[in-house]
Amino acid sequence: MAANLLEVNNLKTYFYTRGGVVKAVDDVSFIMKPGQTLGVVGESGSGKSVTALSVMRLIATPPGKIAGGEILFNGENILDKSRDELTELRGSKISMIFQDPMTSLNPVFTVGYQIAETVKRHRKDVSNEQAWRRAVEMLDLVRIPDAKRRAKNYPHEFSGGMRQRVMIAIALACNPQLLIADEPTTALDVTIQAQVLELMKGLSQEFGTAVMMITHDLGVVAGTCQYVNVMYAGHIVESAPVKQIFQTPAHPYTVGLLQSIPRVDDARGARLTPIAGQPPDMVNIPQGCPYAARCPKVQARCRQERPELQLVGRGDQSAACFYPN
Amino acid sequence: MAQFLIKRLIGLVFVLVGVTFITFIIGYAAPGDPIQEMLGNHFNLAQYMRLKHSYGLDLPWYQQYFNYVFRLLRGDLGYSFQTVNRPVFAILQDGLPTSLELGLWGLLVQLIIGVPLGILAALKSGTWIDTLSMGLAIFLFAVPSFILASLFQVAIVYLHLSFGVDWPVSGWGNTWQYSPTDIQTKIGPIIIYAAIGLAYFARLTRTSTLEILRQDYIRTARAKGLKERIVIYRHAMRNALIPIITVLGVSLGFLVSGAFFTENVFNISGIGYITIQSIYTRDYPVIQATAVLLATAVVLGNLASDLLYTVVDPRIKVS
Repeated sequence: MAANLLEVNNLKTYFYTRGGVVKAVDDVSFIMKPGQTLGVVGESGSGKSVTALSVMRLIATPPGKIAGGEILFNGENILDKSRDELTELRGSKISMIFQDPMTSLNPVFTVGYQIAETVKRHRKDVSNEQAWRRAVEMLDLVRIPDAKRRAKNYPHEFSGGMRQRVMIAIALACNPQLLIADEPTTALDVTIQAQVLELMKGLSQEFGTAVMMITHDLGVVAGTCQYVNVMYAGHIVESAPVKQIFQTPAHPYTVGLLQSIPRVDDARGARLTPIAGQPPDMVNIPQGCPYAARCPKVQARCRQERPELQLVGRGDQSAACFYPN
Repeated sequence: MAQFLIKRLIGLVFVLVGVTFITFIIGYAAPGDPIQEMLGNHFNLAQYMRLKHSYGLDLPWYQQYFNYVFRLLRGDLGYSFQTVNRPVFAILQDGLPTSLELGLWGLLVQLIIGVPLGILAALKSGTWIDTLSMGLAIFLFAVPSFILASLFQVAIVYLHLSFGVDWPVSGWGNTWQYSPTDIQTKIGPIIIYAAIGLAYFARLTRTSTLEILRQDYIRTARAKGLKERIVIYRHAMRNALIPIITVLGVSLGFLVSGAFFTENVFNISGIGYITIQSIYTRDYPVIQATAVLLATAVVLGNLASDLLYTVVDPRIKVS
C-alpha cells in the first residue's frame, strides 16, 4: 500500500468568539492516499470547510485557532511549518478552489496574469514568457475557447462557470498533489455544475492529483468520489467507500441525508423525508452523541457517551454510532 | 472617449451657468453695497449715483446678470470694484500660483502620510497602533484648521519666548522658491493645511483596505502561496485605491480655491485670502470669478478622477 498523502490526526479547530468557544472541528481524523478522491459531506456548519482551511493553514487567527492534533502531508506536520514554508506549499503542492467563482478572482488583474503569477511564485527558473505560456496552456486545458486571446481578459469578462474553470487552472497550474475543492459547484447552475465536475475529475486523473471534494450535495459525491467522510457538528460520523455510503449507510445521520434527497424514480407527489430538528448549538454541544437529539434510533447510552468512529464490519466502512445499521 | 470628454465639457457649461447664477443672486440679495464700501467716509449722494451708474449697478438684476455672463463668455472677468481699474484676471493671476503651491504640497503631504497611515492601521486593526493613529486622525479631522493654525502660532511664540527659537509664524515667502527661509516659512502652513485631508485619507484608506482584505480574492491570493507582502501591496492595494481616487479628484479641484482658513490665519495672499477679502468688501466681480474658477476646477478634477478610474479598475470603461 502506498504511503498516505494526507493524514489528519485528532484535529481540533476552535473559534474563540464573544459568545464562547465554537468547536468547529473537534477531534477529526482521516487519511487520503495519493490520487484518491475523497468527498466530505455535511450540512452548513458541520466543519467541512474549516477542516479544509485547516489543512491549508488559512484559518483566520484570531478568532480561529488550531487547538490540537496534527496534519501530516507527505509525512510532515503542516502545523509545525513556518509561514514561509507554508507559502511554498500552498498553490504548489496543495491548492484550493472556492465556492464563489464570482468573487474569488481579483478584478483588477487579467486571468492570464493570475495564473502566471502562481507559476512564477513556485517555479523560480521560469521566465515571464514561459509562465504566460503555461497560463494559456492551462486555460486551454480547462477548455476556455480561444485561450490565447482570453488570457488577456479580466475576470468580469467571463461567466461564473468560466471563472470557476480559471480557478481550476490556477489551482492545477503547478501540478499539486492535493486539490481541495470547497463546494466548487454550489454557486453554479446545474448544467454548468456537471461540466465543471467532469473537468475536475478528468484533470485530476490526468495530473494524478488527489481531490478533497467538499460539498453538501450527495449527487456530486456519487459522481466524483471514491471515498466519503460524512461530517456532523464538527465530527466525522461516517467514513466509507462511496458505494457503501449509498447502499448500506451505517450512521442514522447518513440514512437521514439519503432519505432527504429527491430521486428521479420517486413516485409523483411522494414527499421527501427531512431530518427533524436543528443541528446543535456549536458553543454548547450537549454531551453524548451530537446527533442524539435528532436521531430516530436514540438510546439512553447515546445521551451519555460520545461514540468513537469504528469499523462496522463491512470492510472499510466505519461509523461513530453505538447502534449502526 | 472623445464623446465622453465632449459630454463632460457640455456638462461643465451647465454647472457654470448654475454657479454664476447662484453666486450672483446671493451677492445681489446680500446686505451691503459695494459703492458704499468704496466711498467709505467720503460718501456723497451725487457721486454715489454716478458710480452706481458707471458700474451698471443701477440696472435691474437680470440685466446685470446677463451683462456679466456675456462678458464672461468673451473671457472677460471684468474689473475689481475695490482695487480700482485692476482687472479681476490680474488679481487671480497674483493669487493662483501661491494657492497652487500650498495646495500641491499639502496634497502631497496628505497622500504620503495619510495613505500609508491608513494601510498601517488596517493591517494592525484592533491593536494600539490602530487606536492611536485613528485617534490622531479623528482629532485632526475634528479640530478646525483655524484653531490648529492658531495653536501652531501660539506654540511658536512660546518656543521663541522660552527658548529663543526663531521660526516664522506667518507669511509664505517667495512663491515657488525654496531658499532656507522660504522653506521655513512654508512648512507651517503646509502642515496645517494638510492636517484635515491627511486625517480623511487615513480613515478612508483604513476602511477601504479592511473591506478589501475580507474579499474572497485575497483568500485566493493567499491560497496560491503568494507572500503576504505581495498579497497586500499588489492584490489588496490596487483595489483599495479605487475609493481614494474619488476623493483625490475632488481634492484636485479644490487646489485652485486656496485654503480659506490657512491663508487667512497665516496672511498668505492666495485665492482663499482674495475670496474672503472680496466678500468683506462686496467686490462682486472677484467673488464671481473665484466661484467660476473653483467650479471649473472641481468639474475638471472629477473628470481627471474618472479617467484615473479606468486606469486602475478594468471594469470601468469610458464611453
